[in-house]
Order: sequence, then structure tokens, then C-alpha cells
Amino acid sequence: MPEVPDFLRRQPTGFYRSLNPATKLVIAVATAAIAFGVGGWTGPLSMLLLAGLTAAGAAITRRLLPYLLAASPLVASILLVNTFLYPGASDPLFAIGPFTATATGLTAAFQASLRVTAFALSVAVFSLTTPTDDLLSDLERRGLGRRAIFVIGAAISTVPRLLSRAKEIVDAQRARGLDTEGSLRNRVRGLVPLAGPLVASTLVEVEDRTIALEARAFSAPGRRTPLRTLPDSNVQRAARWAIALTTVALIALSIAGALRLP
Amino acid sequence: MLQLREVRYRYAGGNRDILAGIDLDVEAGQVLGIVGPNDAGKSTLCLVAAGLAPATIGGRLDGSVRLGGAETRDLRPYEAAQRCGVLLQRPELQLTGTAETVFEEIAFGPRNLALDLPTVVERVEWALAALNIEDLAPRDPKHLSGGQAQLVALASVLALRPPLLVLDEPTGQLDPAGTRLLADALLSLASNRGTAILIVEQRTGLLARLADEVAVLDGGRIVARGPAAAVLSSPVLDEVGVEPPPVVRVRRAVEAAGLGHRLGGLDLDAIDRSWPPGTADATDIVLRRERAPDTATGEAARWEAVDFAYPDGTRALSGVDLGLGEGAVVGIVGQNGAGKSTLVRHLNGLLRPTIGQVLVRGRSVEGRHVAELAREVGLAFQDPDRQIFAGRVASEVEFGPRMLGRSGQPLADAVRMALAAVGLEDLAEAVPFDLGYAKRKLLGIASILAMETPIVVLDEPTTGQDAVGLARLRGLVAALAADGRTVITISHDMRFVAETTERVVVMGDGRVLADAMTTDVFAEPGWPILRSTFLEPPLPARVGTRLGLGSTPTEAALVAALLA
Repeated sequence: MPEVPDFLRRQPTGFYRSLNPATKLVIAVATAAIAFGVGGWTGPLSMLLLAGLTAAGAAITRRLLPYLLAASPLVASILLVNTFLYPGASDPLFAIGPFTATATGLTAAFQASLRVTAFALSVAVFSLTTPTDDLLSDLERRGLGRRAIFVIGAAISTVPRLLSRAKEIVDAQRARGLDTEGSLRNRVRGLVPLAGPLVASTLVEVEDRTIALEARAFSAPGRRTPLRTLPDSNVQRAARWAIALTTVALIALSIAGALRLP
Repeated sequence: MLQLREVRYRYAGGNRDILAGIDLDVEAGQVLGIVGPNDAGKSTLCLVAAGLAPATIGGRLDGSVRLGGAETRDLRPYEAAQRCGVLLQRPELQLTGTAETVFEEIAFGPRNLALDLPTVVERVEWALAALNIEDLAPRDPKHLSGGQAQLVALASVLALRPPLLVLDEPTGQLDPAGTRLLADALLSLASNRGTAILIVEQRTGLLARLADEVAVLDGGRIVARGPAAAVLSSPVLDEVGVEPPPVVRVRRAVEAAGLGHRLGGLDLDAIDRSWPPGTADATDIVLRRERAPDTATGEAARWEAVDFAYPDGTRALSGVDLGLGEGAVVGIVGQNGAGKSTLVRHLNGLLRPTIGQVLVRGRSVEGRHVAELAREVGLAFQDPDRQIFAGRVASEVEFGPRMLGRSGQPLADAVRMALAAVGLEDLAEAVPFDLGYAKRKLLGIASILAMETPIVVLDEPTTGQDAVGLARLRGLVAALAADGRTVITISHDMRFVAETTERVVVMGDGRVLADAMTTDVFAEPGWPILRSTFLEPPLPARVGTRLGLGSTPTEAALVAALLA
């Protein structure tokens, strides 16, 4: 009887990688939720630390850069808008032309930036340590429908594809004389003509890929055959519930003002 | 197995029928080849025949399309997928993007059908073996070459075990060895499993070997259909703009010169089919390599002891030493994954050597921006879709010269000249992604031509081109050469290389195996260099050798040798 080849029975290395995909998903969602939901510095800083330590433990710190770069435009705009345009702030620090930076705005800007960065890191740690197919198989085993699984799978695989397509477009433009090397000005200039083509080609690709999936019977009824069993345990099940409940409790207490943290 | 009656189809939002009354049948075990010029409706026919149009992409279908007796409009997509496996033109888009290994990629279809695990594994192993790609099983699909991705995409379709296969230019990115492998696999499926196959191909030589019947599509209509040998040698191919197979071209060229009797005892079909691939040892051949004489004074490009490894550790170039004179017209040939595209990407700085150095027109590229090198090196990518990004054909072509500082009338002239050179002058306002693949390929080339660089690199320019496109590209290379530009062409199309280049660089495993005059490479006794890299010389070269005529890489050279 034919057997699954050895290379598919991959044993994840390290504690975090070997967790069940659902456990890692719960940790990622909890990290992002606490970073955003718990006020002050403690929420975002502790989650940033947690995501950073997890990344270091899973030996993926070098691969975090693209995710941080992807978040950088949002972080930059948060810093600028909050620092200079924070509503109601009356503690000016300095002024640039008509815009005045405020201490309240600066504090809010840094806190919000930390939240976004913690979110980006939690997404990165999850996607870099979890094979997409393992996640989809596990979610399907837990009863999620085929369509929902497709949407999740497509969304996850879209990020690296977008990054790779963006590099292709930039390469094509550089090869025809667009200078994106050297100064910051050049690098920013390289980003401007990128957005339109990226969106257009992604939309074209979505149609082609839909055709390809349909041609491979993706919409067939029944549960897809799992290629391997994924590790799970009572301890992990309990941990998932504990993490989820703790997260909800922390956020609720923070919103209610009962959590007095710096 | 497949039956089309009075089929008319137009895309959603379209204002004309792309298919305008198609009747055809494909029976079990039959291979039906479809040929036609660009924009004849061939890819649309594939989508309609496979039940994907209009079910998945919309549009309006009139007439009847029956798969295994059932109307496609009554079938759900997954039901159609089990009756008909379809391979589209861009293999990389047929892969799921979620699988970590080729094995899992191929298992995707059978797993969707909820087959039990041993059956899934058996089907995957069978599909891998059918295409002789078992060694790819543990590889990451995202890191495959174009040719490998094409074979994996086909294996993924085969794993569904459909009784009918619809293949849209399945050899577009394959080297000659991959093409022969695919042909053998398809013949085996048709004869041993009774698989019905509808295959669209520009390589009519492949159809001559594979197809029982051939239909000629033009303007959305079938204008001829019959036994493959009869249709492929009929004048209708020339009339619609399709290249006849090599055997037909050689016979015609020789007969037109009144020398038909000289071929009397030769079985051209047997010579065409009898090529023994890959029996020579490449390690010996490296030592026998010869440097072709440079006729020009200056040097356009030089690779000095260049090694290159991709970030994942894949070694793509090893100890490459190569110099190309100004005005040289060079062909670079080799198997998929031999390092050809990697080599030329060092010229404009998109890749930098891990070891060694690269010089362009006498200056090292080290420390020079890609944008600066773009003034000297124009590189038309292998996959036009990795190059095209603008929303208008003219904007796409304008981008390069505009970045190089041109504006006003010189810019307009450069764009007009480039579009005219590839025959797209009437499509300046079109949306690039609305064009067919062959035209997108020509657009990619035009956008490089407009930069008017002294070095022009064309990566697989002939992919998907019909006879008109091929003739245009041959003329284009000749015109660039006459203008004194250095032209580097990477191609699996040995006929194109033989007809357009004066020098050939043969690559294998990231090394330069040979660097010699084109006539010498194709005239070697027994062609050990080409065989070592699974390439095949064009048919005229093989016929010339059989007749003891020396080097005859082109039909014109063969006729001239016969006359002499």
C-alpha cells in the first residue's frame, strides 16, 4: 500500500513550531488583541516583547524584516498624524511651520506604533512557523467550510505573493531606468509607481487562480483528505481556552478602567 | 468524450464572439491538435471545452459543449474537473501557492476529491512518474524554474485522472528534452489509458508526432481539419500564419530549389524523431570548449570567474568566464535551470556575482545602480507578465525612455519605432493585460527597444509566437545587428538561434560548456555538446550531416550546400 513519503512527515523543530496550528493561531490573535485592547504602555510593550522572544526562539528573526517593512508606511503615518495633529492636546513641544508637535500626541503616536508593530510581528511569527496547508487542514478538521478555508488560505498566501510581485515590478522598472537605490528619496520614489500596477496585476491573478482552483476540484463536497495528523493534546486544548479567556478578561478590565497598568 | 456543436462564446463585456461557431469532437484515445495564429481563439476554446467558461469566468455561451455526455452548463466546476483536466498557458498560476512541496501540490486535486490517503499517494506517485519528475517531489513549488513548474502543473492535472485533457501550449516554457518527455507521456496516456487529448500548440513539429488529427482555428472558426500529416503539410497553415513542422519546411525549401531528388532516400520524419538525447558526458566537453573569434574591436560584456548562488543556497553559476564583443549577435542555449537567465541578469545589476566580476562595455558593474546600467543594457524578461505593469500599451513602452531622460518628440518617436518594430502600432491605447500572451511578449520586447540601448537581451523571445511573430522577431534581430547593437538571445528554439545568431554559448549546470560560432556548434560530429545538455540541433543540420554536407544549421544553408 502506498505510503506518504518521509519528507512529508516533517517533524517541526523547536517548541513553538511543534505546537498545533490552532494553538499558534490563538496565541497570534491574543497577542494582537492585547496589544490593541490593553491601554497604556504595558499592553503593546509586553506583546512586542512576547512576539520578539517567540521569533528568536523559533529562529526566524531575520525573516521578520519584510513584515516590518510592510507595516512601516502605516507606522510612519501614525507617528506624523498623532504627533502633530492629536486632537485636544495642549502641551506643545516644538513647531514645524504651521504644525505643532505635542507631548500627548507623541505619547499616543509611540503607543499606537508599538501596537501596529506588535500586530505585524504576531502575524509574521504565526505565518513563518505554520505551514499554510497544516493550518487549513486543522481548521477543516474543526469543521470550517471549504469556502472559508479557501479565503483564509488565499489571504495568507497573498502576502508573500504580493511581496514577490512588488519585487518583480520594481525590478522591471529598475531595469528600465527607475533609480530606487541609494538615497531615501530614490527609495521612496520607487514606491510611488508601484501601487497601481500591484493592485491591477493582483486582480488579474485572482481570476487566473480561481480558474486554476476550480480546475482542480477545489469546490468538491466532502472533507479533504488530510496528508498527516497534526499534533494536539489536552494541555494545548486547555492552554487555548486559558489564553482566549485571559485575553478577553484583560481587555474587558482595561476598557472598564479596572486594570491600572502604566 | 468532448463534443462541441455550434459553439459561440464571447467574454463578459466583450463586443464580439471569440468563438464563432465551432463544431468538433475528441474521442477516447484520440489526440486532436489545434493550431492557429495569435488571437485565433485557441485559449478561449480551451476554457470553453474544459467547462471553465462561462461557469467560472462568466461570458455568454451559445451552442452545446458536452463533456463525457453531459452539458458543461449542467456540471458544477468540480464535476467538470473530473471529466476534463486543463493546463493553461501560465503554469505558475495553476499552482495553489499554499503547498510546501511538489508532492503536496500534486496531491491537492485528489485530496479535494476526498479520496482515501493510499489512493492520493498512489495517484501522486503515478503522476510524478508519468512525467519523470520524481526528484522534484520534496522541492518547494515556489522555487521551480518555468519548465519545472509547467511539468508540475501538468502532473497536478493528471493526478485527477481525467478521461480528457485540454492543454494550452503545454511546452511553452519547456526545453527540448522536457518537450520530448511531455510528448512521450501524452502518447502513453492516449494509447495506454485511452485519454482523449485536445492540445493547442505553436510547435507544429510536436503535433506532427503527437496528434491523430489537427484542426486549424482562425478568427474563432475552424477553417481546416483532417489527419495531422495532411493538415500540417497543407498550404492553409501558411495562409493563416502558422509555421509548418520542420520536416515540411525542409522538404519545401529543398524542392523549391529543384533539389527534391537529393532527399530521395531520406526519411525526414525518422530523422526528426530519432534524436538520441543526453548520452554524452558534459565533464569531458568542458575541456573541449573553444572561444569564438570576436570580430568587433570593443567588448560589450564580460563575466570574469563569476559564481552566483541564490539566497536559499541554490548555486546558479559556477566559474563563468565569457566575453562578448561589441555588435556580437549571440545565442545562449541550455536546459531549463542551466543558468541562462541568471547569467544575463548580471549584466544590468539585477543580480550581483557572489564571486568574480562583471564588466559592461569595459566597466565593472560593481557599485553601479541598475538604473544607470539600464542606459547600456535593455533586458526583455522571459515572462512578460513579470515586466509589464502599466495600464496602457504606450505608457508601458514610454516608461524606459522617459526614465532615461527622453521627452517630447524624441520620446514619441522612440515609442512609435518600438511598437512598429513588433507590430503593435495599432494597439498603443490598449490595456496590456487585455492582450494575448504572444502580444504581451512582444510588448515586453518593445518596451526594451524603445530605450535604444547598445546591448539588447531577449529572454525566450519566440514563446507563443505564430509565423508572423517569428518572422518579425527574426527581422528585428537582423535589424539590431545591422545597427551595430550587441544582441543576446536566450532561446530553446534552435531554429531561431541558428537563423539569427552568429555565435552560440551553450550552458549546463551554471557553467559555460561551449562558446563557438553557430555553424560550428550545429556542425559538430555527433553533437556531443548539445546532447550533453539535452538540446537538439535543427532538422536541416541533421539532414546535412546525414548527407555529408558539413554545417547546414538552416534551411537556406542546407539548400546552398546541396547546390554546391
